[in-house]
Amino acid sequence: MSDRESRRWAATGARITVGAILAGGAVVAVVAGIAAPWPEVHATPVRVEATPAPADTVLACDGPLLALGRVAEQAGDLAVAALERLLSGPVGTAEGGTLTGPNGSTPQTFVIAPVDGARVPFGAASSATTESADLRGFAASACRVPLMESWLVGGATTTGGADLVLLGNPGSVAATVQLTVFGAAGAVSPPGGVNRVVPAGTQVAIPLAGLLPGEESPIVRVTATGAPVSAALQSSIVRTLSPGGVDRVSPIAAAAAQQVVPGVTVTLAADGISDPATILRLLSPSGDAEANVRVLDASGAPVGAPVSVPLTAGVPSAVEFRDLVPGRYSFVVDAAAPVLAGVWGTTGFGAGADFAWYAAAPEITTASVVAVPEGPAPVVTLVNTGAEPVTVRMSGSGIDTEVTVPAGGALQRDVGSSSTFELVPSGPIRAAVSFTGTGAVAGFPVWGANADAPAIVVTP
Amino acid sequence: MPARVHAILVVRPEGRATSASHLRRTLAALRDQTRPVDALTIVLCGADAELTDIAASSGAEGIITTSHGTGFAAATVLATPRLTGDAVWLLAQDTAPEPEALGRLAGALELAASVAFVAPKLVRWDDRSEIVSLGVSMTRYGRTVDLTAGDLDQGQHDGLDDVLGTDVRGILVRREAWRQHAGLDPALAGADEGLDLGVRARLAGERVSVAPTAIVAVAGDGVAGLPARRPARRHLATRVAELHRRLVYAPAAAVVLHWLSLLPLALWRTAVHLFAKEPGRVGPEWAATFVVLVRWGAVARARGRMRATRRTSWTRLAALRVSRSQLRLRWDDDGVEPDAPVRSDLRFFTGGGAWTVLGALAVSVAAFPALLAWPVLGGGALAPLRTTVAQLWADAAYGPRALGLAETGPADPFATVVAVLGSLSPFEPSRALVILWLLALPLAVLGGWFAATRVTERSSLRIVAALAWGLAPTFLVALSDGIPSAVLVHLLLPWLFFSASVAHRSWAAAGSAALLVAAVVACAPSLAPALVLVWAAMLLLDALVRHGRGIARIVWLVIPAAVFFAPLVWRHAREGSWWGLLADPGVPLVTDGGGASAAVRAFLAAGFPTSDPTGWAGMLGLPAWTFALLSVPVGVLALLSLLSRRWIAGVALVAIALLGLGTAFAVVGIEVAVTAGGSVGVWPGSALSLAWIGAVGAAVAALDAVVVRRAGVVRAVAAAVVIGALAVAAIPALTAFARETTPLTNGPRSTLPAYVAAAARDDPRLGTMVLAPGDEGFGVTVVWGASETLGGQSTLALTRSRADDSDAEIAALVADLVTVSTDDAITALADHGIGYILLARQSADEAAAAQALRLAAETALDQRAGLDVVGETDRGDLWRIVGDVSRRAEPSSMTRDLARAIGGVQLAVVLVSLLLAIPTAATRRAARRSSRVVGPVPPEVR
Repeated sequence: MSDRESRRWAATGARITVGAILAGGAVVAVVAGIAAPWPEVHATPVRVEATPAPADTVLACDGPLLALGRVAEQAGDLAVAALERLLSGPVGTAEGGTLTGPNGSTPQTFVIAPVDGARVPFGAASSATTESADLRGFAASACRVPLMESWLVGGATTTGGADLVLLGNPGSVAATVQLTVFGAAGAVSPPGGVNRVVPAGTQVAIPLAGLLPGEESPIVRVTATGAPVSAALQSSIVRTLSPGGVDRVSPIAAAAAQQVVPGVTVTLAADGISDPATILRLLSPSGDAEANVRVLDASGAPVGAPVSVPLTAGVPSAVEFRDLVPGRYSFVVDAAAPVLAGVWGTTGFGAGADFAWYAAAPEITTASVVAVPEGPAPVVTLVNTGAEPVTVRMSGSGIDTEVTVPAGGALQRDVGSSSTFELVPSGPIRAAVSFTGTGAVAGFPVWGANADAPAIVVTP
Repeated sequence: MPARVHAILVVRPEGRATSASHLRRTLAALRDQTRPVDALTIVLCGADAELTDIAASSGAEGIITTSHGTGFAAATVLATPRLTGDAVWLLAQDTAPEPEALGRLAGALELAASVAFVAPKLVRWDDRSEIVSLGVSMTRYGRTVDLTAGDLDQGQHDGLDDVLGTDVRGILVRREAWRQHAGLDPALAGADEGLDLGVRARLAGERVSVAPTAIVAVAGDGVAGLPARRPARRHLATRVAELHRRLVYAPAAAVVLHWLSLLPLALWRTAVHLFAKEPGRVGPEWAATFVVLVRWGAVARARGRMRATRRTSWTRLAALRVSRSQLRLRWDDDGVEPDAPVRSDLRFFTGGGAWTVLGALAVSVAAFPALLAWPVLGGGALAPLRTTVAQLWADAAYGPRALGLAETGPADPFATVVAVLGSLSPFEPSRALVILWLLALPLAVLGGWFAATRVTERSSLRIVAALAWGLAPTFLVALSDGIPSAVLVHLLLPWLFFSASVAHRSWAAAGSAALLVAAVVACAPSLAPALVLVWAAMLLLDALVRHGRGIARIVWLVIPAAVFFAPLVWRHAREGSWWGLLADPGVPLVTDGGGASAAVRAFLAAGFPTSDPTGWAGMLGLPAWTFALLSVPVGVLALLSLLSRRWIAGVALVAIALLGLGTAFAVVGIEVAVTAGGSVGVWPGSALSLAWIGAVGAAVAALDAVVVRRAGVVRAVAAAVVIGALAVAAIPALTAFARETTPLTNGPRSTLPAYVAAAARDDPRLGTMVLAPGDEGFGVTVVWGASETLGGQSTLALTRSRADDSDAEIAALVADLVTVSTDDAITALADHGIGYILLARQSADEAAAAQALRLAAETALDQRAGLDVVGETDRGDLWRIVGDVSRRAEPSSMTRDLARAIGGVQLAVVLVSLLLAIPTAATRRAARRSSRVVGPVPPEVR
């Protein structure tokens, strides 16, 4: 082997050795790179919270009591049966207005402008008494903010029922409303309840019987698009030939896992009556559920054992309470699924009777004004379902007191008829106003002043 | 014989040793003269002990010491009062006359009384057979032309006698003429002094002649005449002299015109220098221009001197000027190539490259047939482009951004790339993107083929490289997933490789590579760190291997990219959001933390940017990793290149591949941009393109270096395995369109409803607020003009980490709009120039929370006074603001000035690069002298 040749071999050998080492190094580097914990960088999104400026609060009242079919030739026509007695306060904070209602009625509206970027508490309510051949009794309801979705728990479309769904639109644009009736056959969207236009500044009344006739326990869902509507149900009954009472059913804003119906008045003693005088109506709109019903007496003590009620999705259930002694009660419904609840109570089944539909009350967290319209023996019932006692200060005409509602308890206070008072809770509380007289019962839940709208999260 | 010759010898110490040795030789030569100098005056510019000693021992009649900055002309002026003889001999430290030189010069001066001065033949200091100067003339326009410079002395010029002027060194001037003309013009600063003196003598009716037998050796120290080794000073002196003479020689009426033309001329000549690939002359050009611009006094003095001696008209000089034909003869001489070209033919057509590209075009058409008819490409990260070229370029400029309420700032450099692309189809810019998609495959193959010419001379291997480049999994995923920036990167990278690999030896390559670097980094900023590393390695290699001869060219590579990113870097620096620089430009694709895991990185290592790499897994139900093995042949060959005879190329290319992989590994865990829908990761596919160029290049180098027997068979088999595996891996991506599994869609022409698009078509200052309800709140974008566009995106907005005032403002507006509130949000919107509100269309799987927000917003907007419900559109529910909607505020004058300044600088840099990049005959000649393949190729491999 010549010198030159050996040198070439050496060079080649060195090249291959170094090359192989480098190649191995490259492979090791890649494998190590795959396995290595590389640092990660994650940007946090820029989110800005903005609180919308508070808007005008709009309240719409339900207007006068209406009577259906008083003129024989025009059975569908509505007549004003009794004008409402309106009460609102405090004076000077709201600007009044009216809706164009059926048959020239003018349900009142209020617009409360915020002051210094904060909402001003304001309350309004109306009551009416009527005594005629087709309609008798006492009804009361609070004026409320219109909602995009409302649930009306009450009424019946069996023989004798003459219920009206009242839809008021106090806004400036027309609302399109879909009515869904939940009955024994589940949810039904009757043709008469599809795309009902409620023009701006008007109130319309739709007979419930026209939507779903022959239903004993209907529950109506009112869904609005375009503008929110103020929905209510005027329920009345005629037994044989004598009118058996009238009431206004306040709406429930949404199904919830807990519903509380405060201030249910029982006037009939249980013995000697075949028909139940107190009925709880329940609905779980979206799923089968087991509801647990507790009844609290005037002082908040539980009455009897809790009742367990199985609920079928979309089908209303009625629970009868026959054993309650006369007095005022609050019903607390707990369920795994969101439910709706309302309680019906009557003073009797003969002539001169009246009934009331008590709707579930929403939680009040902010200072609110409660208007108590003219009526017999008004009482405010406070229920605290929370885990902490809640102190409630009530001050106004005819009342000035501070009470503490124990956790899971309830209490009642008499308030003056035709009075307004401010209710300032220290925590979430539910309240209702009930009236009890001879042949006159009514009740409505207190809707708190709207809390300021929550901040909106915006990702610009 | 003239009675006396007085020599003036000017000495200036520069580089001490050479000055001293030159001076010694010059003085010795003076002593050896057969006709000795009668008197010698030495002017010492700058005190230097050694030089002073030498001068003192020279027997000079006088030694004048003056400051270092004294020029040759000024130095002679200092010595003039001491003149005693009948003739002055102008010498410098580096002019060593041969023994008979003075005798012959003096003789020539003696012979003709009309001769003002005689010049010797200047030859090289160390090689007397090469002429440095023998007679100088000028063109009709005053440009100096040395008649003989650089010629080999074969006595061919010895018949020369009458000339217009000469080099100043070694001339023997009749003392009368010297006095009359007041010596040299000190304003000339080192060039053309002899020519100027000759012109003045000629105008005075005297003659100038050369004595070719009198020989003086010159070193070019730059004391007198032009310095030989300092090009910048030479260019400066030449240009100063040329401009100065122009102002001096011009008729009085034309001086002002000439003066006014100086600046425009400098601009023009800058372009010419750049085009001639002589960027080193740009600086001296401007320096000379400014020097001459302000030297009114010198011009006036020179004109006065000339007027005092002038006897005849300029027409007498015409015969002595260089004619155009003489000039052409001299230039053509330069064209003679001493050495034969090293470079072989390109063989693009004969070697099958063209057929490969054509085949790729056919495959592309077959893979995306519908694209032939589509006007706008959508889906993925694609979006329509602006509808006019003006709007495209407006998006690329500093100023109000196309998205956001009041975003003002620098554009992503990618917007410029989009604008260039869109301008290729000026009447329908969006179509440019469709055509790009259709041509992507053949263009990739074409680029791959050319890049391969830097690695191998074999046509077959170039085709292998071209196919491997076109079938790169990362490229095909980018194509089928609709990621325009990644596609562009893959198309540009091979050209960058092609040009940058020879940037050290050619300005044309450096110019084009610099633009390509800017474009690549604009498309994928995440590649910048890797490219900077490669660039640093290039600088180091050039400094070590080529002694820094190409440093300026390599430095230039990053200048355009730096200039284009400077505004963005500045903004990010101010906000402290450095990571944001890495964000991919263009439409953000939400990845939402789907990134980094070892499995993902393993697929990256196999060249696949997604983890169902090929789509085969989904089609065949096999585990995805089995298909990642399809790229193993490329990897194995790439590693083998390290062992091959072409290991130098192998090491460089494998290093690039590792750099690309490392970048991909790093960026896959980086999510720096955020949209309302989630966070946006950096696309690792662009880094894979960089890795792929290294891997494919190294694989080809390995195949190129196969020297075993039957090498052809080995190459063919290996190439078939590589290409076959890649082709199998490519089938799912290429059939994705036919199987309708790509997100690519025909259109939309606008991301906004057609109603808005029509209204804002020509009005980019009309805004639309787009609300997108999400789980946590509203995502909101303000879109200006007819559509959200590809070029209108801004990474600056997507990567900001803090909410600014405008964010707070828009949040407040949105909060008021989506709830029933009293604030007059509508008027505020109209004042901003927002005319429409769009509630984005509901997605199929919208969460309940988002639905609730949507419902609430819809209700609030429906009720809002001042809004007209336009209704449901294919993009969502639309509202129109009733009444007067003002237009988006014009940018402030400061913004506009800034935009102009930034745009001007960017344009200038691009122009410079373009001028450098345009090949000329000279660059082509130079290129032919070097091999196409970069790096050493062992002879046995050839």
